[in-house]
Amino acid sequence: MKNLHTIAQKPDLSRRDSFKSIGLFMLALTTQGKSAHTSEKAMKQFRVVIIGGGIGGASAAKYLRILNPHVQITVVEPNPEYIFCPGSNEIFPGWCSIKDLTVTYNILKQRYNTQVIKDFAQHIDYDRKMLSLAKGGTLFYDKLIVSPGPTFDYAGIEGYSKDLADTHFPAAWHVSPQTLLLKQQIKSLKQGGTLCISIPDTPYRCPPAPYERATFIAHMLKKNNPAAKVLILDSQKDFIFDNIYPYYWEKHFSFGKSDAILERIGPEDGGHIVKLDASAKTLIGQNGQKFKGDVLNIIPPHKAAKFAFDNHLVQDQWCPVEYKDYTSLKQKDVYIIGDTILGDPMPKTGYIASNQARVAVQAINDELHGRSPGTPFMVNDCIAMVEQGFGMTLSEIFRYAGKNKPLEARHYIPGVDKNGFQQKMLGSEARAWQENFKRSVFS
Amino acid sequence: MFNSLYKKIILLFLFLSITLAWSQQDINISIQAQQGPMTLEKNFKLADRYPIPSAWLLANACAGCHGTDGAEMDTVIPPIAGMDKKVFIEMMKAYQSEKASKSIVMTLVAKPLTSNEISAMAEYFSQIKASEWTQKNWNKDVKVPNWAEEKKEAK
Repeated sequence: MKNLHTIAQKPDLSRRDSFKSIGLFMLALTTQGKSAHTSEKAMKQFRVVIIGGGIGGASAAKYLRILNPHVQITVVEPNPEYIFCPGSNEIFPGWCSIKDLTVTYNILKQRYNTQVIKDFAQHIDYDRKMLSLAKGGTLFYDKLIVSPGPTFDYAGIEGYSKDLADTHFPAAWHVSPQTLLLKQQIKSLKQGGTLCISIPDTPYRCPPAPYERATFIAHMLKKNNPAAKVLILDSQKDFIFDNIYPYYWEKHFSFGKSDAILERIGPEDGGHIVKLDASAKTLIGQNGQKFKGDVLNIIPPHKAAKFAFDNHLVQDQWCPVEYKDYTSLKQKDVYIIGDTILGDPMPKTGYIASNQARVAVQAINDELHGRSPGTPFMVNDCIAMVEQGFGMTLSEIFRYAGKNKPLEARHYIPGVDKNGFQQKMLGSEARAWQENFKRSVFS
Repeated sequence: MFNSLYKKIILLFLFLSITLAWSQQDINISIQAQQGPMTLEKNFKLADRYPIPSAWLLANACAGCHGTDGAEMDTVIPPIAGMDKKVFIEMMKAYQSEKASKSIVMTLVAKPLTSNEISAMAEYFSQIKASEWTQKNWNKDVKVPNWAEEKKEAK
């Protein structure tokens, strides 16, 4: 059975880091005996700084406070609010508004006694354990949790750029003005026009989301522009929920027939897009195949956050970590969670990020109490909406398999029953899940 | 006497037809399930090789759906905070054995958990007070950024 979210992994430490580790190990040997349990007074001086107030960062702050009433917790986040990515494809058909997905940091500040600083994290001085902020401030830390999310690598598609995404060919891969631009373009697509959605190689944020988006848009077109077409240009041969989506598309969008509202071109037919010809509104596949569209929604490839690259936390494209506690393999006293880590075989989802956050903060709290970190426990559960009243679900577990080894994954996606009863139930559960998930992080 | 037997027969008949209807669900499948790549056996083997994760971590892996400490009072996804130990264990075992339905979410979630993990979760949740975690009006003061002002559309 195929692995759902596989990429190659090449773990190794640079030579300089190894020397550093040996030094730190010796230091640890000499100091270990005396600090079994940190006193309450010392804990009150203990500073945990969290970079990023998304699902990973906010979960880290909230659950660290639940575990430990004393330590100082500071979150550095440039935005005054967070807009949830899970559920955000529903903005297109208008099943939810951006406001429905927005949360403030007030609960984090008030209920969980967290300092939230509205600024960009810029530079880490690992020797002085000091973080510099864009506006000139500095923060000292004892432990640093890095959760900045991924970078969308617009330049990974030749001819594409953030400017073009902001003005003409939105990626809309997190909720931003590009989301509303794409919504506008869907609504004003000419009768009988073509809308292309190009999907990059894994790993990218939320594996089923492009197919969900294509399905929601196809529903909109079926109603208002039935001669139009959604064309999925896919870099992946197999995809998540590929037992359910094609079945659903056949039923509702004549998938596979000449009058299909929704079509999918896999990598074997040139669906792996490498280039954009902006003036011709054309996407170009690996072997030169051309796909012209009236609207182009280009999901760019992802890599680790620029912040992580700038601060030497990256190897190849992602941040390598030890999966027992999410400590960086490159820097001491740094924990990295969420979409910016290698993570394989874990997919890049909010559910995963919040579970990673709990593993990391438990490890920090354990260390403060003189315990070594326990065995991590990771699950990824998803209840997704194909449309209102048709849901589907996926459950994954990731077992710890030893030091310096990736976790081992097992997923289960149930089938579809003929009378649609389960799907109807899952449809309403999907909505409830979104709300409860939001609360599990921010309430 | 006859009356009570009569009642029993009706109840038995009702029970059987409900059970049949449920199992019918699973026979009537148009798309098969997908699972892997690790087998269930290997999953249990790996779980047994290392110390059991903390009860807090196990229980809050459920938080994404059931809320912090399982204390989100939703009507569609029920709370687990404060649940009786025995009831929790019985329900999880029932899910594992597919007594309910193959495609109910909890069937998939329960499947890879060891008995020790289920017991640890049961112990944890039984000690949590069954009062709602989320406070009223928790997100009432939310403001969207200027660019995101749009009118909510009719469904």
